[in-house]
Amino acid sequence: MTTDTLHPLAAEYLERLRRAGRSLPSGRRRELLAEIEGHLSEAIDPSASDAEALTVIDKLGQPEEIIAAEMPPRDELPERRGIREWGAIILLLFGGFIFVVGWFAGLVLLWSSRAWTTRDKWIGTLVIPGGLATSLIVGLVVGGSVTKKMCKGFAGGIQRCTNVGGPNTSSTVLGIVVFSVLVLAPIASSIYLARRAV
Amino acid sequence: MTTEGTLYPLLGRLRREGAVDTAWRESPSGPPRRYYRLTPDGQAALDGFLIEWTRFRDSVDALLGNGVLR
Repeated sequence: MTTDTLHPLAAEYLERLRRAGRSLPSGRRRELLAEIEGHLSEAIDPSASDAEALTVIDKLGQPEEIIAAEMPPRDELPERRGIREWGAIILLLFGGFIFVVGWFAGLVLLWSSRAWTTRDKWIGTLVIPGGLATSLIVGLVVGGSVTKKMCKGFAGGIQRCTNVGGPNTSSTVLGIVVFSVLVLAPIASSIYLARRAV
Repeated sequence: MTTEGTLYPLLGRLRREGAVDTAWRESPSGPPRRYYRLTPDGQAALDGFLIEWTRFRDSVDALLGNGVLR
């Protein structure tokens, strides 16, 4: 921060502007703050009197006014949830079952929509690639190996089965936890996307 | 009087529309300064606006001069 080269009142004004600008897209907010900071540091000498500083600040206007002017006009606002957005959410969740292609179609819809930020899109992409289909496949594979282990135990006789009962139980519990996370993560991701696309 | 601070959002809009180009340059005092310059597109828009404005002003002047609005 270069606020140490600013007049205290200018720094205070900048802080008010920063708070007022919370609703702005972060890139725009950063740029606007940089410009206003430049303006203040040019117009007010750090050693200026408070009265001089206030004159410049008054001319600058209220932070809320500047933020309102920076707010994107209605037609530039992101789209609301539409067919594309619901399509993306549904395909990302269930598209994996449609020969995996469905999930990729969801991905295209997700990235071509203007309703989400880049961060939202990465979350939608990475949690979890393939959606519920991935959860099911991973669940079956993990569950299968657990079952197999138990079967081996059974095949070896009741005695041995009870001996290895401990570790088997814990791996079963682990399997259930992993499976639950795998099922819940894409559902949570979908809910997140649906809520963000307002 | 319009507030000086709202100039920056306006400049930002012109920049996003490609009417002006900007460059940051170090300043001898304080943070770097942003310099603005008209792009060819911006110049064309300005030329167009000047023609329109002159036409509009002349029409209003003519109306007032004719006494139509008096």
